[in-house]
Amino acid sequence: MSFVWLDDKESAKVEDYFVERFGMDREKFADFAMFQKGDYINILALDAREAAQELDPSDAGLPLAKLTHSKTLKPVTRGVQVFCNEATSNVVEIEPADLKGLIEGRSVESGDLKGFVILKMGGCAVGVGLAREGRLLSQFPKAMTHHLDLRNGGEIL
Amino acid sequence: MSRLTKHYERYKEFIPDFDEFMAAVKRDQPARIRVNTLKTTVAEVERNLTAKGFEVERTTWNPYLLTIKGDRPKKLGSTLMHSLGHYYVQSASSSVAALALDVKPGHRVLDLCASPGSKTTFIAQLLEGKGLVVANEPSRKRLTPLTTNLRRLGITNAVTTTYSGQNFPMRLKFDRVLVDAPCSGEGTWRGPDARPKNTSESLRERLVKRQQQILERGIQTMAPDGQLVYSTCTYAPEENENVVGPLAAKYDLEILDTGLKINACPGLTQIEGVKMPDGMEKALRLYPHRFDSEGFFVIRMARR
Repeated sequence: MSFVWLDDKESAKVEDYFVERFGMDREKFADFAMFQKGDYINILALDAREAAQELDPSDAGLPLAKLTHSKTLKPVTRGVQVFCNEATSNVVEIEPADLKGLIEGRSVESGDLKGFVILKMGGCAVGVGLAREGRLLSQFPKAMTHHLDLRNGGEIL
Repeated sequence: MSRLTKHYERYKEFIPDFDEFMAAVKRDQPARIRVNTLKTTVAEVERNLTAKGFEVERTTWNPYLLTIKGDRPKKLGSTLMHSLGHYYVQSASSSVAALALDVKPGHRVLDLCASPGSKTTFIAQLLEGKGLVVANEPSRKRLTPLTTNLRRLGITNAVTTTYSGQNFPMRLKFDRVLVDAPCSGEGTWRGPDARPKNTSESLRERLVKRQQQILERGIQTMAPDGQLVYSTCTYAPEENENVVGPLAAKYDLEILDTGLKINACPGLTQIEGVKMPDGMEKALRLYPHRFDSEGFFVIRMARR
């Protein structure tokens, strides 16, 4: 699958989404390039861009956002874990018990929030949730959670 | 005599304290993890694992490596911290190969045989997000674990490619090249149930040919002041000194000290009467009774 590099204007649109929705500092993206691969927007350090363009890569950097059917953006777990620790808005701080519930398919309260939110635990971004009608649903990919041992006295190990 | 002892008999002449070596081979190696300092700190992982009932011990020669004692190591891949990419379950020997590269932030690094990414992700960690690591893996089947691990550990400066090692393009040059070559894997046969796998003459011949080709391409991708580490997880001299020796001579490479203070044995300076290039004693041979991990061979080289 080929990489389609985003120009400055297109990258700025992706940055706008993270700045406006999650209150992030635009500077966070200053040393990175973005490209589209399938439905995903990936982010790659500028130091690595030349190699990605010179070689025939199968992958590069991290997926940061996914383009939905309606062409809006959805934040992606692995990118969020690296880039969204400083997010200040549309953030839900969860406890380990909430995380366990979300992974097991239960929802937790989300208050007045609507749409995609950054889930933080102990101040660190751990993933993405979807707030809808006062409830928060997990957006964790199964590949990230299926192997977790949830039997450790009711806590995530 | 067990099949394993019979298999290793031919190494008796150069593996010191052979009986101790065999006893160590039949024991499990300690479980170890490398903390991913791109996402967290050693102290934080140490604290969290201890709180969850793991017995954790630091390693003197590798500041990122923790030994996990007790009966819970099998659960190391099932923790939330693992899932969040805070650590990688990695053998001590495998981490030696990455450390021997002497990676500095800003370097351009090529890992020619990268999957599943234990060394690639360590290299990326040592780069501290500055510079580049190209993770090459020709096997499509092995690409998924590599990509999964690069993403799990949050690596933003890695580019993954699928060239066969011997055909990696020469248009880019690298400050550091790692050739962790496909090998017979003898060093990984550890534990009470360890059994020798196929190391027939014809398989070994094919492996050696591939190792020579991949190493040669690795040398050709080095920048003029670049360095290269060749490593395998086998004891076989045919796959180690005998692969490196002729190519080091052909390309006039200098064999460098790895600078690592670990309990390793020196590389073999003579094999079946044939003298190896000067400096071969600077290579590291890791044996489980001296360095309690997988058997490994690591050598670091640079152009003169």
